[in-house]
Amino acid sequence: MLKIKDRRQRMLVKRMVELSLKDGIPDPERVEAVLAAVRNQTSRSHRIILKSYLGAIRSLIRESTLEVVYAGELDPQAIDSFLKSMETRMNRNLILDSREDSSLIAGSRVTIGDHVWDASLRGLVARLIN
Amino acid sequence: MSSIIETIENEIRNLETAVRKENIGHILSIADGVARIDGLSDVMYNEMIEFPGGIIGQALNLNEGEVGSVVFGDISSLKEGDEVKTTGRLFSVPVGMCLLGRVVDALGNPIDGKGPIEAKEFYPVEKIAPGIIPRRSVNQPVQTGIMSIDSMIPIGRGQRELIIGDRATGKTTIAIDTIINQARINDEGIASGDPEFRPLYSIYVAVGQKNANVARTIRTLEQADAMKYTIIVSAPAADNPANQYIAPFSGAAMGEWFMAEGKDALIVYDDLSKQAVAYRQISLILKRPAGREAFPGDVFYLHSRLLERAARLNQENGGGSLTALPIIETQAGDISAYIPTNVISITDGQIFLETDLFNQGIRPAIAVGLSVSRVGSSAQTKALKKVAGQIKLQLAQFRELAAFAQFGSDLDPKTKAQLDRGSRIVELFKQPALKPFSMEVEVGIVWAMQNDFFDDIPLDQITRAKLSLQDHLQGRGSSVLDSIKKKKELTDEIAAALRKTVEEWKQTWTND
Repeated sequence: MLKIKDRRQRMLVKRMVELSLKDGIPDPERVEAVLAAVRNQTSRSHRIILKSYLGAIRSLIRESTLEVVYAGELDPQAIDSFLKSMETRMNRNLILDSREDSSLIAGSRVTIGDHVWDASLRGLVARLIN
Repeated sequence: MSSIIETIENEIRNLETAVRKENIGHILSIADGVARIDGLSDVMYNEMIEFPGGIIGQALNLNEGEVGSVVFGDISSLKEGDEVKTTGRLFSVPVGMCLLGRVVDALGNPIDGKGPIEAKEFYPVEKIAPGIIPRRSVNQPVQTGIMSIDSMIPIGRGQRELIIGDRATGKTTIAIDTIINQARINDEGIASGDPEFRPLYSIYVAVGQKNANVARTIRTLEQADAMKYTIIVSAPAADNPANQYIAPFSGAAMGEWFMAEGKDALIVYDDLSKQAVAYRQISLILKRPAGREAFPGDVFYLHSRLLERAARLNQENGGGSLTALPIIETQAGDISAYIPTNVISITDGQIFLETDLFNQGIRPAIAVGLSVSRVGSSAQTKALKKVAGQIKLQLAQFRELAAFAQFGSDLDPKTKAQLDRGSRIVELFKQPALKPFSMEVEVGIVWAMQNDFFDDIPLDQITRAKLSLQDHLQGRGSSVLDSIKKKKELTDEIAAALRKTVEEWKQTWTND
């Protein structure tokens, strides 16, 4: 994330981020509204503010995304129930991003932000090698 | 056959298959042995982190949104976006007796081609130094075998004595001589079968040195048969700054093992100026605020926390000790520079070596006025203390008078006598490299000097006379030396026997 030295600009970015959230998750409509609002008030540091805002939103999306990568078939209902259980556990709303990746060989790998739960065969083999 | 299958099946069943939670991050940038990493929200300060390919690093900067880490090892295979993991462990190195005789890198990996090290224990490189309660005062000597140091600037077990001086003034030689002398004493002590004998193991940490110099040091120690009691930790100039920064801490961890086991160890940091420079490089890349001479604000803490780990423990804590001989290289004799003043204030004394003295052929080139041992005198052997009590003062007065005498031709007899005695002491203390004296020989020679036996010997023959007296003492006077070695003090009886032996030598001595 780009660091802003000016306190007022930092506060502005913080406010922009707060206004972009809906139930703790960045919302596309709100983001569009925030961007439209700041578009009309461009300043010399507009680019820096937008870059910092982008970094913060990107980090928030990463921390709010439950990424489920699996090999083979996985029941969609099972994924939904897993999402609900993770939301209860983390006490916040999460965005689901599930996809198949045959390189895992078998099993699955779940990521939220920088936390990873690896139950894949590829991960197990890697751990055994280490 | 079925039992074999069953055994293997059980093994598979018992395999750890539980899901493991990991904390990961990704490399944002990497340069000069330092990586900026995104993520790693659970990482702890100084925690070991794992890069791809088994490369490890240490988290040094915990910022909002990113982590700054040093990378130990080859960073050429790492790239932006690579996944990095926390390990939940502090960076540790192998410790134990199995390291004796080995040359290892800053991570404790063998680099001497003698095969893997079978270490049973690992110690974290960063450890809190022993507090006040487990310590006891320094009261056992470290015999360096260098007459001028043992008599004037004695070092005790658990002490931190700085060796400081310009380049090529013999700093490393003093450290190597000390290690070689320990090996000689260890050999004699173990052979004597004395149950109270405590060997002193040595650790030599080479930081930022040329590989050729390290190789020469290893060869010297091997030739002196001292490697069997020595561990060498090498982070040469070609190594990355992270390794040069961590090498002294790795060596300290290895030394701490001996101390924790109730044994005695000596560690030489050669040299801490280069470690400070490596740390400055890392800190500047990590964008830490630069202070005096561009060093970061915590460079004092870097050295104080390292040197505080040298200690003498009390009996309840095993009674072990770790003696530290840090080396600092000065520029043009400037001891008021940042790093030298820091380390002088941390240590319990310093041996200051002067280029002028070195060039005059006075070796070891110890500047008596600037050298001091704050705690070592209580560890000095009684016999040596008795004979060498006045020498430091005499020599300091001599240096002052010698400078003064250059301006006047007529000197009073007392001044002339002081100058004469001083110049003889200077000659007597000249000692070639790798030729350490035993404590009892040092006592004999210094006693002979203090009792005027060298007064009628021409100045240019003092060295020859000293070696002749050494031979005589080790030959016909061996019983006297044995008594000094055994009792460690100069009783009236021993003094009388020593006088008789030295008189015998004086009768045989002829000036050229």
